[in-house]
Amino acid sequence: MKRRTLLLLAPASAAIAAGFWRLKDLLWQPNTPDAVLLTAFLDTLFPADGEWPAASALDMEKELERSFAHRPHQAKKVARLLEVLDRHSRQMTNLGFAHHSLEERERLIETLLEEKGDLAMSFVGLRALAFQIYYSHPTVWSSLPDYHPPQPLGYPDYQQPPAHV
Amino acid sequence: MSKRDELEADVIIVGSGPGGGSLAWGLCTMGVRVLLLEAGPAFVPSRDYPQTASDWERHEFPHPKGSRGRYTFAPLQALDGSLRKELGSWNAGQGPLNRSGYRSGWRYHHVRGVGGSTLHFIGEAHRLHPRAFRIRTEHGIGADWPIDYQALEPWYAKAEALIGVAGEEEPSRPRSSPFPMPAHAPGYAAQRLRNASSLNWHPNSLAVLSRPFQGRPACNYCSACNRGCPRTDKGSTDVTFIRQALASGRLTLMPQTEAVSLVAGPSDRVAALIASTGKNKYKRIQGRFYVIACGAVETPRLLLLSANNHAPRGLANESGQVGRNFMETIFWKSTGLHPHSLGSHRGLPADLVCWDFNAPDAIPNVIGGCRFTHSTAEGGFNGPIAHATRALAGWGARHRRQLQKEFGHLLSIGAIGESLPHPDSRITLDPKRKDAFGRPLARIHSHLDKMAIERLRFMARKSREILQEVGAEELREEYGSYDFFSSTHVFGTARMGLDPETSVVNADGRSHRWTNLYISDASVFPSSGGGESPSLTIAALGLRMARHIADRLMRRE
Repeated sequence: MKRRTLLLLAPASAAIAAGFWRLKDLLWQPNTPDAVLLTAFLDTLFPADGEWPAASALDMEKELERSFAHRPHQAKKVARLLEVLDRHSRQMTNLGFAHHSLEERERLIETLLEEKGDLAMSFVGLRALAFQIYYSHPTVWSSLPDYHPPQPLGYPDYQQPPAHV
Repeated sequence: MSKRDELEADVIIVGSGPGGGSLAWGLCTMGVRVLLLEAGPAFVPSRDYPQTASDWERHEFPHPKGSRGRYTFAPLQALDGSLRKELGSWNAGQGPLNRSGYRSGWRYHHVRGVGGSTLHFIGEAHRLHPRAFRIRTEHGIGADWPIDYQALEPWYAKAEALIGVAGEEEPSRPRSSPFPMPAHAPGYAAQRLRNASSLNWHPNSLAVLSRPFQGRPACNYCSACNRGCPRTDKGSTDVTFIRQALASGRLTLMPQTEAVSLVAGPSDRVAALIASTGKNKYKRIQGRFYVIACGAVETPRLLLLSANNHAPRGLANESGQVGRNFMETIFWKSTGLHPHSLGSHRGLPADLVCWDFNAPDAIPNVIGGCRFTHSTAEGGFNGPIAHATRALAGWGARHRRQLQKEFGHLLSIGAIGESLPHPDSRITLDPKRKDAFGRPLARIHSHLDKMAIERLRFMARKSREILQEVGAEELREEYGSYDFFSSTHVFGTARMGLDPETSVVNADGRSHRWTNLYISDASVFPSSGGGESPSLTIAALGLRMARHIADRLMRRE
């Protein structure tokens, strides 16, 4: 092949390579959620508020990651959800989801779920799992009225109005 | 199979739930040697379900390997869209729970383990309504029992005394003796309900100790009976009948031993039972009598799997009725938010019951009754996770503040109704899916007919009315049988009757043809009753059967 031909083909090759790169970017599916994105997402579901700790203060993302080790299918779904959320954020604001304020992150989640109804089930699943972990933490449930794990105390006062009333 | 792989006993029982356990106790106390096989493991209550951990709510009743049988669902019926708004399952946190156009097979709730499904029951110990025994005679629907309430009453009383049932006398079910335990006082939420409701509410009769009994403590009202009782105040079969049968020294209990098949022999007798005790480990077990007590899904499966040249259509299936007449749990649950804090996460899971609509003709224009309970904790609203996930929409700081404000305010009404036989409701063998032994799995077919839907509509309407009366009209969750198959109580697949053409066993629970084969579980129920929980009736029948088999052994039959 002559040098001239090569020079002519170079831009085309570059364009094809760029196309492939872009396609790969669109089609690539992470197997596990990005840790920074996950933390930002959880802190949006559970922000610090008075006596309530933020999710990150309880290392919730680490527990979720441990849980994903046994549930690869769910990990993939959550990874996809967060990836789409981050892309949505960049499209809307030119900034990744994790770089926004709490209010903006809340708004981004809401608008994404409005626009892409097919993600709703993934969101419902992640929400349920996140609630399971957050409300299992003693720091969290101890701020609920008259509540503790069922045993060993039970509720011998069950016939009375709740103590806090 | 070598000699050491063979076992013998007077009576071999397969399945250690209330039917197998009560029968084993009855036989052992009359001097009979019993071998009790259980496919699942033995649980240690204090170790296996302590309920003390911070994350207790994340764990249902523990299901280690082998503690749940596998089964499949045949395609369920298309949903009538016009009823979706009235009967569709939904909750505030997740929206509609079945978005398909078909009824969904959620779960046959059961436990394989020593004690069977009583390990995760909430302790309801109900006697059937006397008129449920003759529903065909009175209403021309379903099937009559070959025995009546009076014949079963002494056995009910005996079962209650052995378990330690707490309850309050109730006029529709005559008794020969008082309840052995005083009724549990209703919880605070239940008191509010009873005071506001126009219906008649009674303390639910429960196999939960209101006083210490036989070394077991009284209940401490932790609310989590259906996750397993670590204190053993709940009278599951393992801590009542089986514990006492073992103490007799005549019971050999073999957990994790699965009956693979019964061997039908000549002269209308079962010759042996083949059981597996592990991978490629089989035992041939011989006895004078064989009793199957595996529940209305697995019992017909085992009978059908035991077909051979002596029983070509399956054991005890001469009438073709094995697996037919399957009746399920027709249920409804509505949950509303009460304006005041009730602390409704505390106390017994279903402390009050209303029998006003329990008789077979108590619901206007419908045959087959129902009962209602206060069932906030039974439905899982005894912890923050369920409340946050199901009863509240959204997320974020506002959601959490809302949870803090309204935790303990939820009030649930549960209803269970009569399930009547239908040709399209049955148990068959799955044509494709197989278990570890290469045997077909049980396949559940379920169909709700017009009458069942009408009963369900009544149950839903009445549940909402009750919530409205008590002031909890802001609904947060509703679900039921319209769009989900979800059954704990299953019945009818080896029906008891007088006619060998239309039933599988006779009034003693014995196969019409196979003279040493019995069935001791809710498979034999000709009718389900109007929402009563079946375990006490199963235990009463088991005790009655023990007397009958012991008599036959005495006569050397």
